Amino acid sequence: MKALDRVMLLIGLLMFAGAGLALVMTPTKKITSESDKVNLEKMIPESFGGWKIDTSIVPVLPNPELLAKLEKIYNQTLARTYINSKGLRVMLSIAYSDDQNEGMNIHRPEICYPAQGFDILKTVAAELVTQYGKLPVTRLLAQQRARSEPITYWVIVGDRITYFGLAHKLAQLRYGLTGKVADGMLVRVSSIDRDENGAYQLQQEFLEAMLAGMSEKDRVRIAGRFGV
Amino acid sequence: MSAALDARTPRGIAMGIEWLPVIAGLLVLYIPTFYGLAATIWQSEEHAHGPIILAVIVWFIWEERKALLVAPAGTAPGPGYSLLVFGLLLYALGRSQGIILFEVGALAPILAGVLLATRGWEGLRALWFPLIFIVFLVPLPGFVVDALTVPLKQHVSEIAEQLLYAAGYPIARNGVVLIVGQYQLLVADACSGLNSMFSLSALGLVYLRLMRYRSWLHNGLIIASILPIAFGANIVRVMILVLVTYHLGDETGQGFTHSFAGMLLFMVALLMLLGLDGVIRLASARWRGSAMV
Repeated sequence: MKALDRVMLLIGLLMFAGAGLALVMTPTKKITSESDKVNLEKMIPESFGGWKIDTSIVPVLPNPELLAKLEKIYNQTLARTYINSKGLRVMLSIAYSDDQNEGMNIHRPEICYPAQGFDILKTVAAELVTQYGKLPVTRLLAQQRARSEPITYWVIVGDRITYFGLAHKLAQLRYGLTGKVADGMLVRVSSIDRDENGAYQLQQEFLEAMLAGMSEKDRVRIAGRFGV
Repeated sequence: MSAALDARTPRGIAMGIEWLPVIAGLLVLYIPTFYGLAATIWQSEEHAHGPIILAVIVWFIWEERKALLVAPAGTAPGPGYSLLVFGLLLYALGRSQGIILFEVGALAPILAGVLLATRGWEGLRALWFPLIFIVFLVPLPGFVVDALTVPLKQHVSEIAEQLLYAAGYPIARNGVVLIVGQYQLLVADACSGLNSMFSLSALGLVYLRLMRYRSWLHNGLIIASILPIAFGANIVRVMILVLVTYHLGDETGQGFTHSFAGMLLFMVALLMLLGLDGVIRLASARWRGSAMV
């Protein structure tokens, strides 16, 4: 009887230790400080390499229900359309949060486009070769009736570019286990185009021009440290 | 021995008090977790079943409390403490890093470890069902939900369209958007039926546990048919929504969506499950009868 009580006490103590361990392990330190806070509006130049802002088209946004949820998760979102000298348009959408979590999934194009009645016809992991290195991206083909919209996107956790899913969680863990809270960003470009490959080519040109038009520091923010 | 089986005898109470440190430990671990869940995902439609599942687990443990109050026939401290420590580490990792899968899922090895360390394999055997049921308490990880939702939606809208088309309705489909007459209906994520599959599986297992069928074939048949039934019932739900919208207008359809259709889906699925159970029972009685002749 006495011995058994000791067993119960030991188990109870172990449990308290487990709860304490969880408390100690919880990351609290945000890697972005107040001073170098991201400002998406300023970070992405209004014009670069022959591209400038075009106000006639607004990129696809999550539906209002989702948007309400998004506002809780994201500190900042940016939605712009750029046009080049040939009159070709590329839509850019960026979502940023200084506290990365599961909720990032909501802005995932695979989820946000179908929610608007788009079909996702293809999802392919691809590599975008830029002058700064290879950027691992995901390419989607979304379609809604006559509107065919090829999409290129990537997601950043801290200073690393990653894919959604398990890799994303692992990237968060890399920070979390060292007590840090990583920030996160989702960068998406798309264009309305029936010619899928042509659209990806255009998006590539656009992204290269955009990265070239940014400062080194902002480029790392937007695209992570890649291709090293 | 029989006196010790009764929780109200002095010995029973003493044995109950003995559990207090463990209960306190569990509360310290899991009150923050369940409080957090209640304030967040349990409020969403997809996880509204959470508290009910928790209640079912607690109830099934209570049902088997005798196994906890009798003196142990033997203990298994080795495997017990290993499981317990493993569970606690999993919990700490999950809780601190926001991996709900680990945080909640750790409850299974923690409880199993406690049972082994205090009541041995016999204790674990007595409480296997509530332990297994913890699976339903764990929210499906996002990547699993993502991987399943889209194809499910696609199939559900396809089949619903084809059936209604065959029945002569002016219906067309564009991806997961159904167009019937003048109306357009988006088959939303919630219509994928993933949640109903989840909760029906849980309900099906509770039903089987309560019926305590001896036959593995009987149990197996019912378990195997739960998911197809949930899938079929969901198609029925989508079709009913389309029909209501078509005949009674968009507003009625929308109102119907959030109130009645979900309930209806559940009832249809439950009736199908009970019907199947009846058929199996009838068939096995018949088979036994003819075997005797």
